[in-house]
Amino acid sequence: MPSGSPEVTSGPPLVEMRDIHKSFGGVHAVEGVSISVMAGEVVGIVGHNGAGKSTLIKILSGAYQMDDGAIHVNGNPVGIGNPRDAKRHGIETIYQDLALHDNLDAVANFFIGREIHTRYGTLDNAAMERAAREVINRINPSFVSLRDPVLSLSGGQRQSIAIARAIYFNAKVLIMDEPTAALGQRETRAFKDLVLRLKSAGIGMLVISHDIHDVFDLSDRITVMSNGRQVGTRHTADVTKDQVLGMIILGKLPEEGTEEELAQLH
Amino acid sequence: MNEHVGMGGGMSAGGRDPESVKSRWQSTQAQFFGIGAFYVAVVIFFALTSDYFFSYSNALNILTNVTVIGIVALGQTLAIVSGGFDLSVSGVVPLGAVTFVIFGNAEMATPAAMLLAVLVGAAVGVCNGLIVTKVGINPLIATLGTLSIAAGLAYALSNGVTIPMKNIEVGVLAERTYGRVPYYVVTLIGLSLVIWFAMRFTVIGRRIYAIGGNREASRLAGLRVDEITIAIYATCAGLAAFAGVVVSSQLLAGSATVGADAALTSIASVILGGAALFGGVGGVGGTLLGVLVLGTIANGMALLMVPAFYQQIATGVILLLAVGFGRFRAVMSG
Repeated sequence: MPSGSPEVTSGPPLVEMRDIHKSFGGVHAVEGVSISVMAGEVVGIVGHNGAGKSTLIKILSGAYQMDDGAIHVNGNPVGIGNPRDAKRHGIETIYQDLALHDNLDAVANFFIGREIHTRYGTLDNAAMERAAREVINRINPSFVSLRDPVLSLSGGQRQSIAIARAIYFNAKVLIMDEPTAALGQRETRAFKDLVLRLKSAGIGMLVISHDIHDVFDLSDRITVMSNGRQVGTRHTADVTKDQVLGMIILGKLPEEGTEEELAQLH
Repeated sequence: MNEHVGMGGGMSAGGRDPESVKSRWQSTQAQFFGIGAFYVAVVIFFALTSDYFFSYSNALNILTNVTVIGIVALGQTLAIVSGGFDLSVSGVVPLGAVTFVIFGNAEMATPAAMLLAVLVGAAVGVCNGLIVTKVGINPLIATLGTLSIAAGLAYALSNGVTIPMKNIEVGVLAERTYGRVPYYVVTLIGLSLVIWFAMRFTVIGRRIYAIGGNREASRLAGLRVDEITIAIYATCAGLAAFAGVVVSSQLLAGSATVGADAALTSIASVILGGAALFGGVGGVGGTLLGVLVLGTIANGMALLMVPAFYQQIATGVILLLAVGFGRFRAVMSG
């Protein structure tokens, strides 16, 4: 149980999102949600489909622009207008669909947008392959096909690429949207192991997951969202899985639910 | 990242044996080799059926005839690989042809007239790029609109008549150099090498493939997708305008009636050369092969006294066969 782990430091959060609002047309996808991540902390975000989890993290990763609210990095307000801004602040994202280029090989996917090049603007493929091989093999020792289009790779291999490139470029905050969805049991265990290593390296993580067990295994704190709103945020050590499920299903804090409502959950 | 960050268990999903890697590589290259083999067969067929076909001067004829479409197809390769299309080349070729002669007839230095004509074309391309990226209109529709506008402009500027070059030295590109090869053929080869190198070995080339492969993932990776797209359309239309300059140099006149087949033939060549219709796959080598196949068949049929309209039919049949064959292969290999 990593909760209350000593790696979580004091001081301003690595990243803080305050009172975030986002609408698509007339639909309020996110309404007044606030979350923060400390160095070495894992914050889980849970909720039904359409609760606004992915919208929230896509605002932080620069994929969407918020309508209202504020984002602070190390206590300083920052503007994140596009994915480049987020990366500049050390915020890296592993998207649910992995956002890979199927027509390119693993090395090209690894470095896309941050290619190593000579001063003439030509690609330094040898240097990129060395770096990518080293990092990807640390995550997945059996990964060999760095020069095949990633279309031909398995779900686990594709995920290795997405994870490897997210951690390689000095990430301070990692956003992971359903990171274990495409993984088998063994791979999921390996992934959890990686998260612990990243924690001890002081990296803050925001993890979206449908799997309540994964969230309890990984997170120091859990934020529950429902219909675009924040039901609440609790330290993992202070709540039970049933209580969190109750928050997801009822959209209320455990102390707010009536006896009958709580009884219906079982 | 720190050394100790790594996954103990490893995310294995089965290693790949060298055989499957090899077969995969072969299947990606298959269309290229398939069309290459087809080209050899075409050459052999015409060499056997026409006495004149297999000769240096006829090879030169073929190169001469494919230059204009070849230059257009280079730009079209960029557009298609990046996930777009450019139909407007059919309007930009005549626009380039007419503006080049108008500038040349205005006593302007020939290189300056060429540059201005290319810039006029590039301006149309910037409009294409802006319409596609900022307005969000599908490239086929966007460039169909600008095709009509550019072609109309070419007619308006020339009053619908062919403008002769006052000074035939303006048509310098059509002059012949070593081995009777016209300068414009040399130019095609030079442009091909530059674009091949850029697509294959440079950062911008890598990003063009990335955008064609997955536009949204490119945006999320931090690429300036819109800016790159606009630059691609500007380059494509600039090349089309230069192809118009070549036509005018060949004719020693500027006419709004040239280049109407540029869009269809260039797209057919690019697809014939193995490019994916929806982007991310393709290249200069395949495109040039596609251009040569269509040009050689047209030449051979002309030598065999086959009426020109049958060439059109042949072009269509070959395109459908090539794309259909690729589709068949994709289905068979799952």
